[in-house]
Amino acid sequence: MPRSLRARKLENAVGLAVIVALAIASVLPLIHILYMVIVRGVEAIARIGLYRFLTEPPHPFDPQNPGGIGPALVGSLELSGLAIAVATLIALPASVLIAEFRGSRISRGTLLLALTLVEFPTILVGLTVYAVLVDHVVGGYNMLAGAVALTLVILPYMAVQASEALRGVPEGVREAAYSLGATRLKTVYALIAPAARRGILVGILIGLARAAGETAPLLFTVGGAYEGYHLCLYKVGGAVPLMIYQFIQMPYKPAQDLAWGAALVLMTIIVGVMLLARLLVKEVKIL
Amino acid sequence: MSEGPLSRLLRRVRGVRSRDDERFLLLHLPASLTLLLVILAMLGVFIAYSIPVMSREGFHVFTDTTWRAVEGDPQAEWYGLLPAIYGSVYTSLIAVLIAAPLSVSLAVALEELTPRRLRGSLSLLTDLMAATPTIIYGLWGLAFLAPHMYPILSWLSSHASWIPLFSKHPSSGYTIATAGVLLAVMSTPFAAAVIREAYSMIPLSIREAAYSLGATRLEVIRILLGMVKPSIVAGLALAFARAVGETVAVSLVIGNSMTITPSVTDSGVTVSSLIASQFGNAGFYHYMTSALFAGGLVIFAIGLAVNVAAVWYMKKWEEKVMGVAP
Repeated sequence: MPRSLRARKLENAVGLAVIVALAIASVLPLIHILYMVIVRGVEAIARIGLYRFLTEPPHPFDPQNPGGIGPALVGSLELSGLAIAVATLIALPASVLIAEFRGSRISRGTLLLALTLVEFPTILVGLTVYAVLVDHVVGGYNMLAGAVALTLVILPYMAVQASEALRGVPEGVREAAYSLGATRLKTVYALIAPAARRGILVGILIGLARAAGETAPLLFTVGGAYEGYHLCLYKVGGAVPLMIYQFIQMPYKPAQDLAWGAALVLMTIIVGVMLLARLLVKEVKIL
Repeated sequence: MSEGPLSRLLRRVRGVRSRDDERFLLLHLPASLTLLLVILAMLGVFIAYSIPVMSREGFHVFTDTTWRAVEGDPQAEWYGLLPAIYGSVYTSLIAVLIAAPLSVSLAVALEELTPRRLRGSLSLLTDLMAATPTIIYGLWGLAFLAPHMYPILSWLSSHASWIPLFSKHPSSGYTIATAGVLLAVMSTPFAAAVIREAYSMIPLSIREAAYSLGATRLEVIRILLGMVKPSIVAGLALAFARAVGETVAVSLVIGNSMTITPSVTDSGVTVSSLIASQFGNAGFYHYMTSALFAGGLVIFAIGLAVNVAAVWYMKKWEEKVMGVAP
């Protein structure tokens, strides 16, 4: 016997309400996280002033003059900049290979490798780089190892993202170029890649956001030194996320305040990069 | 021009027809080989570094519960990873159980119930949720979630201690339950994205057919969710794999104690949080670094197995949808 219309309407209303409530519940934590990072971060930064917070080294044990996150910020810029540059140089040809030889075993294999690496726990990447670069090549924590670890974390994501952007370019572009006698190299890098530039750029931006925010790949690679500016690639250094992780575990108020201030700086960078990516394309894929 | 063996090999790739194509392929192969090399290097490193502890303890390193670090006396050292493996699987299962209703609701709400004007800003919010660094989640878990979970968990353990889940009275907010909830919050946007993508791929005609038969909105949603069931499974599997590998956020809220307990109100440890907390001291001992790499090998294997299963499952579903589409 069919159920009455009224019962079904009631069920519909209750069911939809539950779905909406659960959906709201799933985004509430983020809103509270943003709120907390802003409130505590502003409090920590206001104590010393934005400029000094961004440029001075930290004094985690000194309540009178807690200092800032200068060295960590410069370290993060160095690591992310290097990682983005190297990852782009490898991810772009890899994505061209995936997109240009569609249907071939090489293309499918490369895509499968990239997709597998995307989902790999980043702590394993950090341990691998530790074993090779820290344990064997350099013989101590170093910034180069951190940059390599971050490169390996963002490289597969960027390759997948760029290959999807390249695939969206209409075949007509290629046919027109070939009919004019252009080589394949010229066709791809002078016409097809520029046509897909927005998608590729979004991949680079999300890669940048990840490189700036990842902690686990840096745990056993860069070491964590914040007293002065350490830019040498073969020596220890620091980064903002690693500094947050280490300072929040210290039982000192100034250290924890520094961590919250650093978190606000980090979140500002992430939100800025995300907004920029959103301006370029409608749908941003973070997987 | 003569055809060398290299040329003949390159011509076998689909899409390679001319000398120009051959050069093009050859120029791009190193990038692909880099990815292969990275995976092989990772596998090689983890196997090589696990050998010392494996040759001493055998498979006991995965099945034993003793964790004994003795400085200066390698013969007295003994490392069993079972509590950490158990903790990784347990916290990730809790996370997936909580994330399941949340991510399905989030996907449906975004695809079906959000007014067009709001959709842009709401999906920006979920994108931001996925892009927020794990250390920020960890900070929030440490400073807000753990202290606020404590009264709830201690109420549960004093009123419902006959349930094994709440049998232990919590000594702090840093518990298995806290780690599970935090992991659920972190993995919900990823699972939701997978479900959303599949949901939006369903042909409009099916929705129209359901409405034309007089189905209510909820009934239509149920029909559509039934169709994307494999993507829900795959999304949750990916969320599980991510939760197993998650490091810094978990290590800040789980309490890091080597115990095996069914009680979520007790503190625990996961493989990755064990690595994060012990790796710095591991150099003082003879076998600990090796034992931690053996732990890495375990999450390597779990992650790979779950990912392969999820990808296979998704493929099956895509074939099914292709069959349904007009």
